[in-house]
Amino acid sequence: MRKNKARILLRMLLFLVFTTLSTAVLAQEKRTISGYISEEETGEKLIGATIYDTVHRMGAVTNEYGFFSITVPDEEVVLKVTSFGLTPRFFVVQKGTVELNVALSEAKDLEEVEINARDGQRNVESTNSGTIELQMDKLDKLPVLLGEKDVIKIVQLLPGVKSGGEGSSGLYVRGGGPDQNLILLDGVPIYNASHLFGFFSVFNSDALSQVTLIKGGFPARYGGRVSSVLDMRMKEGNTKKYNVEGSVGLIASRILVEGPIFKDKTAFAFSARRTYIDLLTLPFQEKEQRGGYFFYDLNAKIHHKINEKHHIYISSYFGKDKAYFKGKNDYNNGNAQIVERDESQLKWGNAIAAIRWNYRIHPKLFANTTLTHSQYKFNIGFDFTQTKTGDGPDQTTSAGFKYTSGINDWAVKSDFTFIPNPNHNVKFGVGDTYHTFKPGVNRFNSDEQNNAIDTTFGSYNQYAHELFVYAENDQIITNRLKINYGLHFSVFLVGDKNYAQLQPRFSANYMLTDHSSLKLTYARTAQYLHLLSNTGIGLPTDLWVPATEKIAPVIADQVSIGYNHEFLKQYNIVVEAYYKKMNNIIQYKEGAGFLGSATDWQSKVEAGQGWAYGGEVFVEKRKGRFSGWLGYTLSWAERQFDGINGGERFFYKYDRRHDVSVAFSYDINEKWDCGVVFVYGTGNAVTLPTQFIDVATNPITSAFGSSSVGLFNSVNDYRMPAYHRMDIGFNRTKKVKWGETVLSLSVYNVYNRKNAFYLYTESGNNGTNKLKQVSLFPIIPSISWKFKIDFEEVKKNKETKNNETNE
Amino acid sequence: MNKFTFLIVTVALLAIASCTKEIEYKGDNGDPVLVLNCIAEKDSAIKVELSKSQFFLASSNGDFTITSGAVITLVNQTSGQTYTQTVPDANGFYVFPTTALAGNSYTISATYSGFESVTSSMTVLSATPILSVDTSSYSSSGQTFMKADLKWNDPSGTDFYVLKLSIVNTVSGLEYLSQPVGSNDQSMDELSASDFGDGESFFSQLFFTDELFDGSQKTLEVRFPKNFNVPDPDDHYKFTLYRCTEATYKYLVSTKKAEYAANDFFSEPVKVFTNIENGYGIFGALSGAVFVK
Repeated sequence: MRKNKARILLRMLLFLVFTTLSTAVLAQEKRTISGYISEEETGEKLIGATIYDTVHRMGAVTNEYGFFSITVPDEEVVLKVTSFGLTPRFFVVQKGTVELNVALSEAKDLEEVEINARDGQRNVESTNSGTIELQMDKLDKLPVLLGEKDVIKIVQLLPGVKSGGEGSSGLYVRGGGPDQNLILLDGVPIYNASHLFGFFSVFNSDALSQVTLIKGGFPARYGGRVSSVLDMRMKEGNTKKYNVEGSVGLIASRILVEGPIFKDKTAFAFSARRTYIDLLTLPFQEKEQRGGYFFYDLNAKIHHKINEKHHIYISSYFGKDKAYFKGKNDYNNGNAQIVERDESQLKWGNAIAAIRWNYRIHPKLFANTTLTHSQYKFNIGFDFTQTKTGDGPDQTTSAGFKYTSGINDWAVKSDFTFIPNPNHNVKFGVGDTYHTFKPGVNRFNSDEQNNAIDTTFGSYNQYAHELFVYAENDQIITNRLKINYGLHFSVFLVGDKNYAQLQPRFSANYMLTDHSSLKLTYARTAQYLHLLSNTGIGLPTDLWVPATEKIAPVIADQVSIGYNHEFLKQYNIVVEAYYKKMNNIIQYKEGAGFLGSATDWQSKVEAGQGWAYGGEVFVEKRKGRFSGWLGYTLSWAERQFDGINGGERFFYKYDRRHDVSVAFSYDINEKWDCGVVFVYGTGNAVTLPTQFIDVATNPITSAFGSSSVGLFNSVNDYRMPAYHRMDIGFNRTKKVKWGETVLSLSVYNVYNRKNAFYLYTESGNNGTNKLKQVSLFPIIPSISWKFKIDFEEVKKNKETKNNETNE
Repeated sequence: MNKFTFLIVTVALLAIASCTKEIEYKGDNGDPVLVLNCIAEKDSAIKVELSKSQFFLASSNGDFTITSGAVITLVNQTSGQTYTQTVPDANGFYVFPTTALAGNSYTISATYSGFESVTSSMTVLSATPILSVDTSSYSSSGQTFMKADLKWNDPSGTDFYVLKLSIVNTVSGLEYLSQPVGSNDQSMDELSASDFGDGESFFSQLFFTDELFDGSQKTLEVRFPKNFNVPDPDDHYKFTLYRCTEATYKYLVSTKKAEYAANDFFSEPVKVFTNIENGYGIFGALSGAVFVK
């Protein structure tokens, strides 16, 4: 079996090498022009910018680092360089020139950039299927909960993506679980992307430059998760000038500082965010009983251009949540004075760091080597101290409980881009991640006299290596047919067990007309990590665990077919159908949970299968004063485990038959713009015991059947009420001497829909029970103020003022 | 632990306002059905409890035990004898004038006006005698614990077991029930699986199947605290190994888990097993083999 796999891999690689080299050999009398495309104002590298040879009608696209390579006949050519939202530029490139670095400037306000046959068609022409790139500048205009701009919340508005519940930042993509999304920040995986128990994501969107979601048809360069890739890139830092921007909101404030350390060579970007719920509630709390909650994020990045061939990037993220409760109780017991103090706390957070080295080895060959570290820690603790004085010798006793879990990764990888000619774009790479899993350790301690305890129990640390190698080729077969094919081969070494998976990937794009295309994809993906979750809403208690000897990795196969059509020059419609089968997904066994048992996590879980299928419609308008999208998803998601629900298939908790989302913004004039979001979704599937029965008398214990238990027909066979809400927001932009301010007013849940977060029963006065729902967010108006300081403008104003004074 | 749950839930339900409201139940499964419960012990009288299930939105003040008007018919399929019972005893049991005999198959049916009749069937299994029990003591964290190796021959085919430990005074016959016992044997259901790595965990009964030792001689190591004093030489450990019908085992395990889950916000829902057609409950049996050490 392994031999067969190796043979297939070898054949694929030989085919890839043959097809690319043969065209490279035939490409005599040609030259390769390569370089970087960046934004003029900030120096930020542009991802996905297009370079088009207008004479020979061939093009190239920049990679994740703004690098491009295009091979053209060795004669004078006219290259057109375009990027979304920026003014296109034309360059006459003389014979023999092999390097071209281009800076594009921002399109004038409200200017409609002319669209020709080659612009704005990347989606319809690309082999990427199920891929959506967010426009970060448009996100500012959409209304959000409590004015906290959140990229994950925006991603949840896309078809095929669902949230875990009201306000949750969990992602459920095409019937997959929240652990099946590869969330990358500058190429480093983030394990728990939630703040405030899932209501906000850990991503400070001010610090992000690009966000891409891939729901299916994964290129071979991605691996490790089976449902989606959310690839986020942090801003590199402005190499031209200093920039400070920030915002003050109802619950949090943010700041971003960026600028050159050495102009055009070294730049930094630093951003921070902190909530102040704890500080705001402090005056309303009793001194003896205090509780609070806060979170913060820090992002930092330094980018240094050593020379045109070498670039170094150092980026890091550090974020933490803390909820705490402190109590103090003084009382007398006879002559004794007793002081009791207790403190409970929950802490969790991510820390990541990455060092990246870009090396342009050759005009056709680009390399990126990354060393990364990612850590997630969760800690729950309780401490109690009692001091007794005034009645004999002073006595102090204390007791505590602590539960810790987490995951720690060290990784190294090298990615290469080889562009032998405009018909081939080859990517290949290799990498290794060393995981340390800490899946739940409990510690009890007590120093009570004659009964001192200090004991630790729970699951033991587990260590694993995840190695991978991949190769893919994006190839133009004819002027209508383009394919992307590749292989991702990964090996997971855990304990004495080795898992190996060969994952073929394929996608094809056939242009039906100049403006419409048909796409077909197949992807096999493997995931060696599981998330144990009781709630699925992204609580910090969710536990990352590895595939082990007992628990096999998740393997998924997904096929999709899609139709893309661009119309009226600015609109794009994508209709896609998909079918996904997942094997070895895990779930807590019936009755199991993360608390309350000393046994190893592996004995608490059940492995089974999952199915997801459905269709999605996405209509988008990316340009103009009015922009946004409309998404509709019709889907089914099911699960089957031998030991759950009597082995019968049941609907996944986040199975959602219908899902509609509308998000658009409108620029009313130069000062005002507005945004509207509307979402509708079938209610979540829940398990509702609808009958209660007396338990049988157990002859073993001779206990009479006095207790009763709830019964249900099938797991998740009841639907919560449908979820829907509308949010609106207005932004007023004001130019000031030192830059710009934006006042944002938004209303979340405009018509005050009480959406169900969870259901429960309550006893009524007359003995009858009532079915009740808890809703979290009623109508919530919010206000936030954003500022941007333009130091160039400040300097200019100062100079003008000085000149006027001198005159 | 409740404090943590409280903390998580409270803060999760936000520092922001939340609200509750009554909603209409839009589902089926609203009509009550008959609940027939009978776990017969080999060589003991067959006793049945009959009640109605309670719709979760119905009044919780009602009495759901059926004490009159019901007809319960028990048929020993092996002997062909039929028994009918219509009146429960003082404890609410419909007691049949027959004992559960090993190897015999039984069917039961119950009718009650306004409800669909319920039926079920089962076969009483023979016990699996315990061949030997070897005990020894050990210390951990300053306490004394006992180890015991129980040995028996497992019959071929899937078998379901429950092990109970008690202390019995062989002179007075007094029995101290439900002594805590634990085992980290691989065959334990997670409901009663112990991890003795860094601590001791015990249960009132141990639930396990013979999936890993089917048809062979099994030696099961169990541990239990020596937290009782045994100055009386007539006090002895009593090990009872119950061999259950599959339905009995699944019912006992699932009801126990459901009871635990009802008190844990974070635990997964449990589907309670039933083998009663057109109703709920259990019609099963268990056969205990005793070894006194």
